[in-house]
Amino acid sequence: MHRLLLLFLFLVPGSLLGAEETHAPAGQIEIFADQFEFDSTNHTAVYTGHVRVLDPQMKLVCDRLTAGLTEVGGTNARTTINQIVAQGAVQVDMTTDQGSASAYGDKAVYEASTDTVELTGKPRLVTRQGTLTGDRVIVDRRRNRLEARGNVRMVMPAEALKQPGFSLNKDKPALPKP
Amino acid sequence: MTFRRLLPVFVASLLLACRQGMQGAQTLPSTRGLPEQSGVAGAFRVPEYYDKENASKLKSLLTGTAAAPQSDGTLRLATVQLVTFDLSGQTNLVFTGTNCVLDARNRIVYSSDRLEMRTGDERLYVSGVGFLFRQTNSHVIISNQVHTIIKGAPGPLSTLP
Repeated sequence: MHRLLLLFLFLVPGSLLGAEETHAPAGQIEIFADQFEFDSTNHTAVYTGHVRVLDPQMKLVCDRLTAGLTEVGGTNARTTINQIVAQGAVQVDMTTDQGSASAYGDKAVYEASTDTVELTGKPRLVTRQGTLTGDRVIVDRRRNRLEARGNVRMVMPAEALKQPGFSLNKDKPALPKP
Repeated sequence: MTFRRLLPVFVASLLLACRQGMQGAQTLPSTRGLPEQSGVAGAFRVPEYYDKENASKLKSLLTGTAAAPQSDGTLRLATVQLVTFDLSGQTNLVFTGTNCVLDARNRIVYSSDRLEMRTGDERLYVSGVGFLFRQTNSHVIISNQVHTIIKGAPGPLSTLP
C-alpha cells in the first residue's frame, strides 16, 4: 500500500511558546529576501536569495519563494495568494504548545484553497516523536493531519514510546497457544 | 485598489513627472495644466485627478525635491514621495524613495537607494535597497535587503503585494 495516513500529531498551532525573534508577532507575517520581483502581468511575486518567512507559528527558509496572486472581492478588491511555491533547501520550523517540529525538502507547495502544504524532493519531517520520510509529505493544516505517500519510513526513538499517546499495554501478554 | 492596480499608477505618475520635468521647469505643472508653486528650490508637486465626474478628486500626489535634468535625458530626484488615493479620498499607497532616476524614454524608474512602500491601511509594508520599475510590463524589482510585513493575515501568507 503506497499510501499511509498517519495521525502523526501534526503540530498545528494552539498556544505558542512565547514570542521568539524567529517568529513574527501575532497577526503579522514578515518576509526577508535578497531580491523581490513583482510581475503584475503574470500575477506573481517572487522572493529570491536567503528567503525567510516569519509567521506567528512557523519560520520558513528557502532559496526561492513564488507567490501566485489573485484578486478577490468587487469594488474593494484585495490581492490574495492562491499558491505559494518554496524551492531550494526548504526548511520549515514550527513551534507549538506540544513542542517543535521541522520539515525539510527540495520543494514545498502551499495551496490556499485547501490550506495544505506538500513537500517533495526527499521530504523529511522531524519531531520529538521521530523522523518521517517519503516521496511526498502533505500537511493538512485545516484538519491537523499529516499524510506521507510513497516509500514511507518512520523512525522513532525508543523514548517516544514512553510519551503520552504511545502508552504500552502493561497487562501480561497472552500466552501463546499450544 | 490592489497593489497590482496601483503599480502602473505609480510608474505612470513618476514618468509623468519626468516628462514634465524635462520640459525645463523644476517646479512642475500639475497634470491639469495648473502650475504648482513650492517654496523649496527644485521642489515639485504633481497632483493627478480622476477623470470625468470625479475630476475634482485627487488620484495621486507626487512630491519631491531637487529635480535635476541629466545630460542623458533622464531626471534625477533627490527625494520623492507618491501618495495614491481612492475615490473616497482614502490613501491607497504611499511610496517614498531617494535619488530616483526617471527615464521617460525607456519608461523606467530606478534608484540604488532605499525605498519604502506601504498601503494606506498599513496592512502591507515593503522596503528594500535598490529598485527598478518598468512600465512596459508593470514589473518591479527590488534588488537588496527586501523586507515585507503583512498585517492582519488570517492564514499563512494570505496577502502579499
